[in-house]
Amino acid sequence: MYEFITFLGDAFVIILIFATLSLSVNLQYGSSGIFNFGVVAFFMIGAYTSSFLALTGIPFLLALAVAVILSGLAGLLISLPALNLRGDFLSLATFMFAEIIRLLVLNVPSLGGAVGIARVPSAFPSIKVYSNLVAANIALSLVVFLVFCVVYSAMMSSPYGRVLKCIRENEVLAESLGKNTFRYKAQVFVIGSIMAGTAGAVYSQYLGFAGTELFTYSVTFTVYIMSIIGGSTTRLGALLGSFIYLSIQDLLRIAKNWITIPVDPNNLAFILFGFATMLILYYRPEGIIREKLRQVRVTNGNLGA
Amino acid sequence: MAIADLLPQLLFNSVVSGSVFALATVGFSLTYSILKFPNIAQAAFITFGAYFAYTAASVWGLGFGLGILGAFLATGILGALSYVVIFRPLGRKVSGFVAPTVASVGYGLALTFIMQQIWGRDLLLFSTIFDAFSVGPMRTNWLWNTTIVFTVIVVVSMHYLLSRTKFGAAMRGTSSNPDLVRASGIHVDRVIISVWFLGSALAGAAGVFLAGQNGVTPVLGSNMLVTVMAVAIFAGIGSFYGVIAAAYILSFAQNLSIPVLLSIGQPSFYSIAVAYGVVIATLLFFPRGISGTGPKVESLIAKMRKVV
Repeated sequence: MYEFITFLGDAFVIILIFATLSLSVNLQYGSSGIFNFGVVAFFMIGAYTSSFLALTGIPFLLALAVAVILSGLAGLLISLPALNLRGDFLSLATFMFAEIIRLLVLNVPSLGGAVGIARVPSAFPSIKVYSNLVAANIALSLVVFLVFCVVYSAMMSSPYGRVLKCIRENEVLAESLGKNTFRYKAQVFVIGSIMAGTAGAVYSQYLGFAGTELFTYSVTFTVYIMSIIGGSTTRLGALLGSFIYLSIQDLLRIAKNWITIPVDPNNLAFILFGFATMLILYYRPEGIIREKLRQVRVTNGNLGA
Repeated sequence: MAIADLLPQLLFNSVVSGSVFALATVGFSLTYSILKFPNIAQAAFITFGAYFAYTAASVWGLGFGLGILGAFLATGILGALSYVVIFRPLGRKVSGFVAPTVASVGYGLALTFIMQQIWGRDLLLFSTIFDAFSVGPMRTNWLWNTTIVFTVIVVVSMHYLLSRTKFGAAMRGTSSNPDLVRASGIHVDRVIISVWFLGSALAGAAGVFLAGQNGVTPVLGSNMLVTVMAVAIFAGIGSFYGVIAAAYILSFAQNLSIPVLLSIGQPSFYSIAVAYGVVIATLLFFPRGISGTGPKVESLIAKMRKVV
């Protein structure tokens, strides 16, 4: 029983970390229409920055702060030229950026190279009992997720968010209303990158490891699949997508010990997700949780509540 | 050893890898220009070609030549079916490039893991062994020679198809203005299916040439994905001749940067980053690619001025 609860707790930490990543996708893609296909790059920058600093003895919160700043800066640097591109080209440019960053890190010996950074200090060095450590990490990742949920709703429920939605639906319209769409998109890109970077910092301190094999582009794909399954315009959708994806993956892994299926459960999980993504895109492209649209009634030409 | 001594071999290697790049990218670029979305599942087509050829050549014992032919046809059929079953219905229902792109991610994932289920994760080597021999200052083998000859045949026949046949004209027309082509009484859908067949078939062949040397694993195609995108963007989406030129230029850049990097004491692995750096610079400064067929965008400077 004790082990089972710890196992659930462990799964929950990962779900919350990926929910944060998925939230950054929802902010960028779902709510603002920026198709950043290099999410993993910022996840990785956050993870490597905080791990590298934590190894030199800097406390976690300080390392996290630097990770946040660096991932935000990287987001700004990429967004300035890349947002100039048409949507589909933006996705290819960010995708390749992520791959270049990974290849560069893979070849920098001081960042661990192909081996990665091992024995990353935990954010809670004083906690020695594993179950307590898991509990502390649930708290940490929950706080991170909730903070970004607050940021997300503050952005989206304000006039600012309505401009973002307008950019998503029709960028030319937003521009014609005098909105500097480029600046809006750059800001969203940076905030999304910060979310991903923070998630990376929490992830690497929890695993105690940061290596390039954790940050291949399949992470980007996974996060997009989560976001699409859950619903790419809401906070709850990010959490739900992450929960569904990771729990199915874990359940199939556990099921292997109880029932014999002719297919490797790991393969089966990915085959199922692949088909699920296609089916959801076809039958319910807005995901499980739909966007709530504000109702505006028009009577006799007057805008009413 | 000085770079000059290595030069002939480097050039030859660049031609071989450039040929594989070109074959792998043609389909990606053509379907992109017609359906306006990057088909991530192209990577899975490359892998499928390699596995199919492996099975035909080394399991059924049909030999490497029939393996290439079989992979060409089988991957082509897989590609055409993918369009008919998945991307055509999706394109009719959902607009925009995001849904089909993400669907192609999901489809590629499903295909890759189905292949991993069938053939396993381990490296599978072809039973055919290609002995190296010398031609002048260069070492080569029959796999590399076949790669080059095959690519030359493809380029010549594609050139003939695109410039001399009605089908080629329909293909070019479909990518620039499908409505006009439809109004001229051409069955656009049939053209698109043929493009998917052809593009996927070439990707399958590229997979065989890639795997012939070092064997095949489920990630064979995924490892090529970034290169494929790089070549397609550098070329300018939708340009067949651009793809051929871009494939060789990028492959030269990559291969030639190896001795340069080594001579300044940097690992040769960076050569791949050098090539992608070139591509990102392309995107930023002349996003229409070397053939000028990419999208029109406002200049970077004008955009930057708006922000500041």
